[in-house]
Parts: sequence; structure tokens; C-alpha cells
Amino acid sequence: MREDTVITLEDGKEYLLLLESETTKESYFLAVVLDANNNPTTTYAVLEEVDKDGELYVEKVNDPIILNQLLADYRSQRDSEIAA
Amino acid sequence: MNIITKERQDIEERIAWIKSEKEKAGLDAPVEISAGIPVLKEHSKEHKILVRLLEIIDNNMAQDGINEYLDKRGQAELPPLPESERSVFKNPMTQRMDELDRINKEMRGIVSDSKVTMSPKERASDGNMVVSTALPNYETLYAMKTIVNRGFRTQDYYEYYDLCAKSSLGPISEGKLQSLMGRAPLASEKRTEEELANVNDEKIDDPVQKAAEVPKQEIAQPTPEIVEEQPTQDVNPPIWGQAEVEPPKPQYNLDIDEPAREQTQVETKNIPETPKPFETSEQPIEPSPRPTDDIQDITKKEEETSNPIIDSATPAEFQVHHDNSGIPKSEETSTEIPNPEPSREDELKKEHDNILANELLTIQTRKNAIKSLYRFSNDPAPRTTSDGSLVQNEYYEEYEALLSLEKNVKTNFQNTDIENYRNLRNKTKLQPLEDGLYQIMFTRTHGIDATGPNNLNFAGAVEGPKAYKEVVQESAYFSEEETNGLNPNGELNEEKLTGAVEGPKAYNYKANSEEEKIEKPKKLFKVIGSRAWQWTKDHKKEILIALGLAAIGVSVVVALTQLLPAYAAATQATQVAAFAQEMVANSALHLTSNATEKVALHAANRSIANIITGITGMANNFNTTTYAWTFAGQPIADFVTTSVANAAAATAKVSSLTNISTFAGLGGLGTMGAGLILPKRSQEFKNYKEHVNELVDTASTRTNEEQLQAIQNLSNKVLLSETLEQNEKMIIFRKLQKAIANARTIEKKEAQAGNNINPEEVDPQLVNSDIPEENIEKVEAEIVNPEDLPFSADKLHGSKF
Repeated sequence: MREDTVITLEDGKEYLLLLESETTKESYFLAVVLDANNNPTTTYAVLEEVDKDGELYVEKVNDPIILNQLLADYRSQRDSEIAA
Repeated sequence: MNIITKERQDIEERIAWIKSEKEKAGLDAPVEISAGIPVLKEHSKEHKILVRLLEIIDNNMAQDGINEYLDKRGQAELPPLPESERSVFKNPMTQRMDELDRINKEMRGIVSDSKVTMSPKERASDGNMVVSTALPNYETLYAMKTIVNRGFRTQDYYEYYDLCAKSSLGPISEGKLQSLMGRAPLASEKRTEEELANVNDEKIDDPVQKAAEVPKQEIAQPTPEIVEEQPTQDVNPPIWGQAEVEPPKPQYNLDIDEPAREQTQVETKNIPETPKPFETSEQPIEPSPRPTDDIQDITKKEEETSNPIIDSATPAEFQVHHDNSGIPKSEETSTEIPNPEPSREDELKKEHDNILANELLTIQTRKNAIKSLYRFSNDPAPRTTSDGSLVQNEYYEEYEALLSLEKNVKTNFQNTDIENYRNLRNKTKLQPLEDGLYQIMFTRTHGIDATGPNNLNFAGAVEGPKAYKEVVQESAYFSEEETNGLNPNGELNEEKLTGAVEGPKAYNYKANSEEEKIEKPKKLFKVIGSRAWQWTKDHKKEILIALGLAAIGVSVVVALTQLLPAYAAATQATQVAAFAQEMVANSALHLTSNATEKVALHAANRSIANIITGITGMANNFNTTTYAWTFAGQPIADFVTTSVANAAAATAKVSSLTNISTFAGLGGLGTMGAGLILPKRSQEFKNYKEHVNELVDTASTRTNEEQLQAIQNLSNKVLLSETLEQNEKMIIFRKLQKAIANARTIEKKEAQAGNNINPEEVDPQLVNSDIPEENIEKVEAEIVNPEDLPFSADKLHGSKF
């Protein structure tokens, strides 16, 4: 999984991957749900990339402590981009 | 006399001269203290350099960067080095890489030459077709390559030296050999000058012709590759770390699963003020009319209202500009219905299960550490334990005790009681447990047995959850009145905080397939498709990111507001423990890694060690003789045990302050810590990230060996970069590790699919000849599974970097 790609899950939802965590060993993506017209909605999620038996899965992250850490990571990336 | 010995002599003579100059000078001469001794001020700098040079020589040329030794040497008054010997004083890692490059280049040349000639060919040990006359030399080079990749572990000290002399690459000096071997020869191994000269005299100008004249059986046969780790007969002990296998992975204990739920709109103002587990990761952003379309306004607003650490603003106050951003409104402004809040009994049950999982993790980590200690020791008389492992005699009793503990945990303590378990545990070096924790471990999740809390039969609940709560209260672990760790007066009740939760709740380890796992179900969604996204003017990435961050911020601020002080301490302690265990995990990976991965793994460990030092202040050291990491002199296995216990105490305190039943712990993320977030990413860092992405994207245009070579080249550049920060290097190495893992996964898949033929390997003679078909060797019979080739990248052992 990479930034600026759209993944389709088995439940039919499509997520546009906006940012990938840099300071974590695992890959956590900040993602936004796309609607049927391929437009970003106002619903966001943090997806953890999971490799299981050679297949690619994602898990939605709910833990506030993990999310808080990722928030700092994502903010840092965004601030760096804005400052660049 | 080899060049290193001569160099040491020159340095010692110079140091002696500096000391004598100090003695000759009068008492009034200005002096400075250098390396603990007074020297004349004008010699102080040079003296420090000379001491450092000696230190590097004593550490088998281990140094910072490629050329620290040569750079510093240039500042000292030493005789010039012969040009041919300068490389002896480079970083040994660099020397070995250069040596490998040299051998590979020579071998590739022979293979290429063989392809364009019609001379008779034979298949070499690595599967390549080589002209028969060049085969002996090729096999010699292959043997040399094997030694390099094996970290120069040879039975005979001069084995590599002899092979070089026979090969087309020519002889090397004894000093070079010492530098590559990483040590000087023992007295019993040392050859005389005459013996060394005789070896070189045998070398003739045309090594290929000479090799062709020698009967094949006289050429050194390549040492068989060790394909799989042999726990009892390992001839290649691991280089770093203490763990033979990766410890089992404790699972996050998330509060909720992710069922398929109807999506409904959730008003942000309905989010309660009291801390609650964060129940959904998808929050709607209510559109609000704003006249401007300015990313700065959005970020500024977000900064003002949604700082999750400090701001206690309710979500209702958080508004995000939406209308004129160019993002079309969507009908789907909804989120998933949160699960009902888990009951207290469920939380306690989860807590109990986590404690058992952590106990198992602790035991297995210590077992693996003991097994690895034996490998480092080269103990000639190990003892065989009841599970067939080899351990040093001094650790035998402890290991057997650990085996018994492990069995007890896995069988839910069916055949033991608290006292026996405690006594057994006291025979190990595990951190002691509080009495309350024993009580919890030995109490069934849904009640206690009527015969008393020490009866450990978990089968069948006798009483309901109320009884369990009573037992828990008696153990002083939780109190019904203290739902947040505070007594009725609102003060922290220190007596109730045993701080004895063994092990943090979540570390990200892969489960050991040989061990029984205690797993929690995860709700995973399979990815069935992927496509690129083209950003258009209407879809502004920055805005979407800002909105996404706002969504997260809204959700976490309420949950975390009350946790701050203990959270910060727990974060740090958990991170240190996680880092230490990540180092151990990296070291374990070494055993099955190829040369490229080994470089990346050691580089990652170096970065992690420095980060741990930065957090704890404990100096780290990597001993290039024993290949062991220490922190403030403490071996890493013991450091892991200590840091895990420290993290456990810190996380227990946080857990007591919140209703969140488990402290997932940032350590589980293998993070670098909030305090170490990159403040700004350098352009060099961004370039390297792009390189890694490009490597991944263009992998299909390269052979597997070329891809791994490209990854290795990039890894080397990153490793030796003097401008990248440690954190930046760590990020890039992790991406490279993923790229390597992906490349190997693809390689294995292709091998399994039968796609084993590299078209370049097909002998053109077979293709172009008009030999009757029945005489043509069937290609299928010639197929060599890349995984079986002793030469294949998968099997190469890295050098002892």
C-alpha cells in the first residue's frame, strides 16, 4: 500500500490513502472514504496494513493512544510539507 | 611484519616520543591532560588522535564512518602508508563490501566471457555455466565469496589468504587478511614470513591456466552453505542479539471489534465529556459555511481547537471549513454505530487474559535469551535441556524452571498452586511478581473455585462475576470505588497501585510458530483492489489531510485529557522496552537474512541503540569481538527484562487512571516516540524515500539479484550518510526492509509457480544447436530451484557487521 492510491476492501468501500506513518514500525495510513462518484467524503479512518498469509488486509484503528501518536506523526509530515 | 602490527608499533613509538618530550620539558612548560596523562600542550591534539587510532586497531578496525582512521591518521605525525595498504585501515564493513564487489565482478566477468564462447562448459557450484578451463578459478572465487558472506568464519585462519593467492584476483597482504578477519592470528595459527611467501610464490601470472593444470580435486571446495538454522549444531552463531527466534506477539486488546454496522449520522456534540474508549475511527465532519478557501485558516483553526494533549474543548466547538474547499459534498456523512461500552466484567476478563499472555511472553523471551547466550559463549560443554535445547551449564536450572513455568501457564495452572509456581519463578531471573498478581493469574475468569483461591482448576465456573470481582478487590488490584484510580477524596491511592503488571500490554512481536499462541481475534478487511489516484485541482491533498487530522484530534482529545502525566512517563518507559525488544527481534532475523538485510538490520539496531541512549542516558556499546550489545554494561537480554518490568510498572499506573481496560502502549507500534518526531524532513531524506519507492516500482525491470544489489547499494549510502539524522535513517531502513521482504515474497511465489528459469542462464548452445532432440537435455531436468542453489541470495550469510 502506498500514499495516493485507492484501495478497495472486500466490503466494497474504497479508501484513498492520504498519508503513511513514518515513525512507526507498522504502516498506518490516514485514509478518506470515497463515494460512488470517486469523490472524497467527510469520513476518515486510520488503517493499519496487515500482511497475513501473503494476502493484504487492513485493520481500522480505534485505540486513542495509538491515534494520538499517529496524529503527531501525521502532523509532522504535513507541517514539513507546508514548510517546504 | 604485517602492516597493522607495524602501524601499531609506529603509533606507540610516537606516543612514547610525546611522553618523553613532556618529561624533558621543564615544570613550567604548558601541559594538557590527554587520555588521562599530561602531555605538552602542543602535542595534546595529536596524542588524543593517536590514542583513538590505537583504540580502533584494538577493536579490529571498527570505526565511525568509512575512513575515520585514515582521516585522523592524516593529522598525526606518522610515516606515510603504502598506497596499496591504505584500504586495510578502512572500516571493516566497507572492506568486506569492497571485497565482495571485487569477487562478484570477477565472477560475472567469467560468466559473461563463457557465454560468448563455444568452448566446452561445465556447471559450477552456483549453477552458472562456465568454461571448463576457467572453472577451477571460478570455484575458488565462489569459495572466497562464501567466506565473505559467512563473516570470515573459517576453520583455518589463512584459508581466505590461500584462496586469494590461487585466484585470478591475486594475493592479499597479511594485514589485509587481519582486517578482513577482524582479528589477528592466534599464536598457534600464525605462519612465518617464509610460509606466507611460499603461498604467494605459487601464484603464476595466468591463474586460469595454472588452475586448469591443477587437478580439480585440489581446488578448495566451497564450504557447504548452512541452509537452515540448526539449534543444536550451529556452526555460525548469530552476530547480534540474544534471541534465536522472535518472541510471541502479544495482541492488542482493542475495546471493540468491527462488526458490520449500519451507518448513521453521529452529531459531534453528543460525544460525552467523560473519557471513554475511542469507539470508531470514522468521524463525520459537519460542514459549516465559511466564506474563505484557505488552508491556513483551516490549520490555524485546528491548532486552536483540537490539540489532543492540552485542549479540552468539546467536539461541538470544532468546526471545519468545508463548503468552498472544492471538495464536493457527499451524501455519505456518517460513521459507524459505536459498540456498547464493555462491562466491567469483560474488562477484567480481558485484563486477566492479558496478564497471562504477558507472563508467557516474559518467560519465552528469557528462554530465547538463554539459548542465545550459549551461542555467544561457544561453551564446549553445554547441557541439553528437556526440550532439546543447548544451554550453558550455569543457566540449565533456570531454563528448566522456565520450561515448567511455561507449561503451567499454557495449561492454566492445572497441576500447580501459587506457592509452587512462585518458588519455581524464584529460580529464574524474571522480575518478581506481586502477590496480587499471583492471585489474579490463578483465579478463573468467571469466579473462584469453592475450595479456595488457590485451587486452580479453570474448568467450569462455580460462581458468577461478582465473586471474581470480590477476589480482585481482595488482591488490591482494582477497587469498585476507584474506577479511575482515585479514592473518594479525589486523591491518587498509592496503596492500590501495585504496579506489578508483568510486561506491557502490547508489543509488536510476530508469534513464534512453534509456541502456542494466545491470540485475540482481529477484524481484518481484505484488500481486493488497488489503483493509483490522480490529484486534481478540486481535490486538494492538504485540505483532506487537515480534515483527517481534525477528525482524529476530535476523537482522542476527550479520551486522553486525563492521562497526561502518567501517560508521558509510561510512553517513555514503554518505548524503551519496545526498542530494546525490537533490537533483539532484529538480531533474531539475522539468522535467516541475506547479506543486504544484515546490513540494514545492523544499521537499524545501531539507530535504535542510539535512540535508547538518548532517552535513558545509558551508553550503548557493540562489542565487535563478542558481537553483543550492552547498555551501561548490561547485556541486552538483561536490559530487555529490566526495561519490560519498568514499562509494566509505568503502564499499570496509567491503566489505573483510566477506564480503558488495556493500555495498548506505544511500544506496540515500535515507534520512535513522540519526542523524536522529525521536526522537518531534510531534502536528502525525501530523496532517499523516493529512491526506495522507485526501487519498488521498477523491481520488475531487474533480476532478483540486481534488485537486491540495488537495495544494498542504497542501504550502504544511507548507512554512511553523514547528513541524515538517525531517525531519518531508521525510517528509510524500515522501508528498505519492507522492500526486501516484498522482493523475497515475490521470488518465493515465482519459484513455487515454477517460474525458475532465468533466461540468461539457458545455455545458448542448447538453443542453437541442431543436435537431435532426443539428445538434448530436457530443460526441466536442469531447472534448479533458486531456493536450493547454494549461491542464491536467500542463502547467503552476511558478514559480521
